[in-house]
Amino acid sequence: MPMPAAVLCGLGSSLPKRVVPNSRLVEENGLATDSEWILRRTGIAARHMADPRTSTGDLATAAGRAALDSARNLAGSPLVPDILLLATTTPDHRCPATAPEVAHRMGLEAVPALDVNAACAGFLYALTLAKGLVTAGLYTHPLVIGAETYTTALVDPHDRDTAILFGDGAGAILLRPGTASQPGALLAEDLGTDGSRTGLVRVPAGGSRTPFGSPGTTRKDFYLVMNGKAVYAQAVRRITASALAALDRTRWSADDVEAFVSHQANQRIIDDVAGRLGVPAARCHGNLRHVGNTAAASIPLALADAAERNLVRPGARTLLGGFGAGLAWGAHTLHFPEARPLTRSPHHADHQGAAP
Amino acid sequence: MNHHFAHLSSRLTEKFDIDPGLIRPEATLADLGLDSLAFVELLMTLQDDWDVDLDESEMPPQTTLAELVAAARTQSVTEAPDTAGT
Repeated sequence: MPMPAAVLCGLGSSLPKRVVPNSRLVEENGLATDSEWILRRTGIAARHMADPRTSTGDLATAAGRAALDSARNLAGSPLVPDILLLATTTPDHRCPATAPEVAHRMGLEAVPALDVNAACAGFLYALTLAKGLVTAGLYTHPLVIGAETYTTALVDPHDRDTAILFGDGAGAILLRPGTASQPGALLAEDLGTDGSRTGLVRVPAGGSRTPFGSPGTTRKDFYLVMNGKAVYAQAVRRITASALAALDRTRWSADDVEAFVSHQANQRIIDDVAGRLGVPAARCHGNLRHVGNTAAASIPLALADAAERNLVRPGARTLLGGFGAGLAWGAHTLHFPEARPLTRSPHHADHQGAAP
Repeated sequence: MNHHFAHLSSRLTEKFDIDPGLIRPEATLADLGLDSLAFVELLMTLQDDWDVDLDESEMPPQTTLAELVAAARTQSVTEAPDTAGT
């Protein structure tokens, strides 16, 4: 009996209500820049920012529910996840993982649920793991969520290098067993890391290497710091190479790619990668301009955006690429899904609080 | 030098839309108006074109085009022919 393919059958998203354009971000935080410079430098005009009461888990729960609604609409009956993978760098707590509480809030009692941390590449890592679970026959309906709250959890609002880049949000997808020719079928992947370059983008303190209260640490050590130029170069090279590897495993050339959905970090990285791959700009899809870099949430959010706007036909040959701290990177090929994306507002009304 | 400089000039005009009138050996990267990401992109392009390793951290904005070409040439195993003929 042949192995089943993993098929993306539900697509959901959730964004905080508050939209912050560049001009307000600059004004509120006293950043030494202006709107036009940010737009030229990054391709970002605005981002959604969570309020202090909205957690990663709130966004993840809403996006997960939206993905299940999307899957139910396509299938004609409810589909129930049997495992939940949450890609995030900004969990609700340092301990425990956020995924179990998200599963509980979604009514998924006793299902396995775990966080996956590969920073901005996290969704591709979680997607690959989920695909493997389906094709191996271990689970049938993994729910994969990418959710982040960088602006409240990791970013120094007064650090121009990072404050201009990030936004908050969550995207989610549901998988089911199917065949490789169907819309939504996941085909091939490539993943990689380079731990020798961990220092290029990281939060220096707050973990076991440099715990809270360590002598000599300052407030800034608990925020994300980034060597932007080095990260730019690494991102371009790593995503390009990973995409080529995934294409090769799919037996596609770059000419075959009908839709390229990259991690939405910086438009210039996306353009450079697409240029090196030879994918025309008209086939590149993203929402960076309106949501900024949402880290692990960016690829499912961009997929949902392209689907919502009917920019890509179901079944189109699609390439995903991502890169993040670690360094970690990845690429994935798939047939563009036919699931219609749904969105839900984050809310915390059903959050019972974490018991110790 | 002239071959490398001619290639650098063509990259600057065609890929980075730099005014050809600004491209002189003594012009600095800052003179050309390249921001830091464009500079990294230029170095990556030249590394691929010439198969050399150019470290952006060793090249401040005051680096001249002549110095950039010289840094690349010191790493070139074999000098490409001077197709410009000068």
